[in-house]
Amino acid sequence: MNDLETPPVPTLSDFRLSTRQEHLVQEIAGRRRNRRRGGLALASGVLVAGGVTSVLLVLAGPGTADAFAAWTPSPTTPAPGQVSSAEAACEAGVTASPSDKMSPGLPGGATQVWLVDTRGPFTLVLFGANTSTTLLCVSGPSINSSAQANSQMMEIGSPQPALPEASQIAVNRLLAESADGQAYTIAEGLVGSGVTAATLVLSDGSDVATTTGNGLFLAWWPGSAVVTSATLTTAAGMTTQPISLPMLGTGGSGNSVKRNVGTGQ
Amino acid sequence: MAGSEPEAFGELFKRHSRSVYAYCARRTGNLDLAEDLTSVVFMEAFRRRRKLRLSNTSALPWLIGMANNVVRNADRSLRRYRSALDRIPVPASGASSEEDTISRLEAQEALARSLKAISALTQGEKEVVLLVVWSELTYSDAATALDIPVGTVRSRLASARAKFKDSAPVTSTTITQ
Repeated sequence: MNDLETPPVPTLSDFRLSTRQEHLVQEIAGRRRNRRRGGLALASGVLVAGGVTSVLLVLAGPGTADAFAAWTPSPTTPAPGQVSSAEAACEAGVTASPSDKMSPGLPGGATQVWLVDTRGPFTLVLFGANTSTTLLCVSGPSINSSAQANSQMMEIGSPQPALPEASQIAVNRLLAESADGQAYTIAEGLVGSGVTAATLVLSDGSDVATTTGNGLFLAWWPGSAVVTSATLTTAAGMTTQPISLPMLGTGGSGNSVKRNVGTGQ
Repeated sequence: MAGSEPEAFGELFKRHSRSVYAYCARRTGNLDLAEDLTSVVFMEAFRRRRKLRLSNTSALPWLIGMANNVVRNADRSLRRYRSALDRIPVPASGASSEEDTISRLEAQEALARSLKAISALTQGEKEVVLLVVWSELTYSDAATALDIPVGTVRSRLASARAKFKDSAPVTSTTITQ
């Protein structure tokens, strides 16, 4: 008993590791799909970043209990034509809105798509971030409003948040909406340059993976839970960032209620 | 565009699986079993992800701590994830050559000798030796992995060192931190 030298272990081949890695991802994704099925109703919103003008476009539907049954906690690959149809519905909704809060037609500078988040048949599109006007639009099946099939909108204003550190995110807005009594929440914000993936941990204990791109993130979920923290992936590994939301407000129009324009981090 | 949690865990696996595998292999002395236990560690880590603790921004100590528990309760861990493990595809190009087979057998014999060498240590001493000496974790990271105070890591290692006082590796800089 006099030898504590480290015993060598043959290295696993890249092939065997990648097989195991792929299996792990599939098992985890399968477990989440099985756990997260539930019914909820949906609306949609248009949100302005840019610090000057904000537009919230809400797609509020008749609100059946299972209207959000196809929602997924992780982004999914869009079906052919899904994104272009959503963009068209959003533009039509903005143009047709009778609300005096609405800009006539798409606000200037908000025609460029910056980020698209798809979850099953639902599509969340962010137009024109970092311009004076930003449009955030959610669309999906069974969603209608008085202004336009599959769309409803409002304008909001919000200060531009500070850029997050490279390994962190900043929650720009957390929008609590409702449609026909069915609550849902949208989160939008900025992603530090070193963050490759971000998952929001909600106050009800569930988590929602975000879509990231162009330095931004998007996510939404049925219900009114708020964000309490975020699990971030960086080159150094995974970290947990607490998220505080100091500004909670209410407001809205039609059957959509803009309850909250908050900042995080 | 999408950065989902499963994909993030896939990246975590890519980053740390070799270290976890080596730890499991040294704990069990069985390379095939270690491979399955490595998968179990990451599936269990996902299940307990809200308890993730970082040490110097790395998840490795937490994962090694998870591996320690998984190996300690290997039968139960494997039973729990048996159906998931059964879904792992047999690697078509992973067929072992005779040379590979001999190499693996030699490695397993070496592991068995090493495990026998530390068999007289207490379980706590073994765990510290495995983490600090064989896996080269810092005292702090070993404390995180085992969820014990750093002082306990030091005292257990000192105790192990006393039993191996004639052994150079124990008094090497690897464990003198």
